[in-house]
Amino acid sequence: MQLTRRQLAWLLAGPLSARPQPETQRESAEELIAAARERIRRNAEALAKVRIPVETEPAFQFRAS
Amino acid sequence: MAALPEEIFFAGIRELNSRLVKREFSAVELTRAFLDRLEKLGPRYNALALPLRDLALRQARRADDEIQRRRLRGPLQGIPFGAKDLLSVAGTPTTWGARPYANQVLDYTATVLRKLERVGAVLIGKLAMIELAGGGGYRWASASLQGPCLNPWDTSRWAGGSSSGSGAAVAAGLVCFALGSETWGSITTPAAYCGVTGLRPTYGLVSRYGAMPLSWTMDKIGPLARSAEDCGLILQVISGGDSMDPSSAGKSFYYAPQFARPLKELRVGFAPVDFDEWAEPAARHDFHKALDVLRSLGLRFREVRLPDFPYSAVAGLIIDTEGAAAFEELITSGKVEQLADARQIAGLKAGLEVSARDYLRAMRIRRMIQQELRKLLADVDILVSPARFGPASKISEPLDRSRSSAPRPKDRGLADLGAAGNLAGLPALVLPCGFADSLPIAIQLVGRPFSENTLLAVGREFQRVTDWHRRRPPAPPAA
Repeated sequence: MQLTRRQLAWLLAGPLSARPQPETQRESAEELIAAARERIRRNAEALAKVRIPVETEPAFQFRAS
Repeated sequence: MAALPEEIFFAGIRELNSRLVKREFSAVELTRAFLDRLEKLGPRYNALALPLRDLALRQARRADDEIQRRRLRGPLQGIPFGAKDLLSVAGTPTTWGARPYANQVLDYTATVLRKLERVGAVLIGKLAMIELAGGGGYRWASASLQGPCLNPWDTSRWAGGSSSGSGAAVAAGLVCFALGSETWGSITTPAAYCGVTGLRPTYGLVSRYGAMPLSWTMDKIGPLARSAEDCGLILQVISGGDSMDPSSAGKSFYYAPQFARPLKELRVGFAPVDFDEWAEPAARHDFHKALDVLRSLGLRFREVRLPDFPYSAVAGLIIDTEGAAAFEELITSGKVEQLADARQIAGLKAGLEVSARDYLRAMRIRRMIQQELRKLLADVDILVSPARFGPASKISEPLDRSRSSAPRPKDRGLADLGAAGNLAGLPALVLPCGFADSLPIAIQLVGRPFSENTLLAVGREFQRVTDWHRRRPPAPPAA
């Protein structure tokens, strides 16, 4: 599909040129990844404390068709 | 024709449609007026992703033609609205608020937008959003292709996310209503921060076909509008089964507040600690007044608390896992580095490493949460709590900064209702209920699955006796 000239002009001159620069990183990428892994580990740890009856099925929705 | 008066931009759906049908102005005139305002003011709030002038004027001409021939299609005919930029319109850019998708043009249109077009609503623009609806977890309001979305009530504050532009555009009168989406808080937060009414529908009630996926088991699409009444009118159109959406519940919704149970028969569960301790001090007075209003309507209150589960951990782990899976190609290709928020980049990468065991554990606990909430909602019809405990945060501050030096209350009350309600797929209605530090605050009503008519009936009565939803923000900032 083709963009109209108006849409193209908007994309070139509008929001994209005004997009924010990435924030100044006070933490390195490695530190941020480590922090994200730690957050996930803490969440998993909180989950591990819940006693789950064996008959409990995951809350997926799936219908055979 | 003379310029339309300012109050038109803050009128509700029924009023606008009635004036269109009476030919006080045409749909084209109304659309042009909204488009001019959206294009002029939208960028000042960083709320506009893309104006759709040509499409909108085509739709408006069709609405005028049909109104003239008395082919009336209901109250949304000729009404200008905006859509969060995660909803696809065939042939126009759909950026998902994220730089890696800045040039994305999809060849299909979201089901909700096709449904709105069918009843004559006029899509005038795509609205800004947090990149990838916040997948991975963002730290700054600037995590968006348009930059931080500014709150029309105070432009040093954030509009909320991830449906940021939807909240800001409705509050500032740039659109009559907007569509947003919620995985965890993305409709309720901008609605609360911007002082507009927001409805998160029951999971599965509204088709997500044509919407960016973040979490297949938690994503919902819903309206942000001027009133509960308007939310009901919009939901009636956008709800319903869709074979293109595997999560569709196959149910329709007919807005019928007149047939809702009398308010005096409804039992409301609440936790005093939410209003006395969790709420920020500046917000407590108006939150309590909101409870008084609900009591004055005849609702019967009883104290409740949520069953003890690690709600945030469960929701976080599910969204991390599903979000990383949805964006696996973005992450593994390295294009994820183009996102604006460094924490979000790291969160998406780490999400790929969640073990199947942990994800399944989260989904099993989710089942338990669903069952326990079903029991809780057998004793009460509605849960009420602050939608957010305080007003909008400052743009200049990270979103994870604690806003209070006071120790967190020991009793969690319904503090986790946001996570719990989203995990169980429950509907929520956000109602503006006052101000704190001159910024809007709101309560949320949460009900059983598919109980939207009950929530909307209470919301409609609440808004009949209050005027918080009619308040307008100050004049927009200069260019």
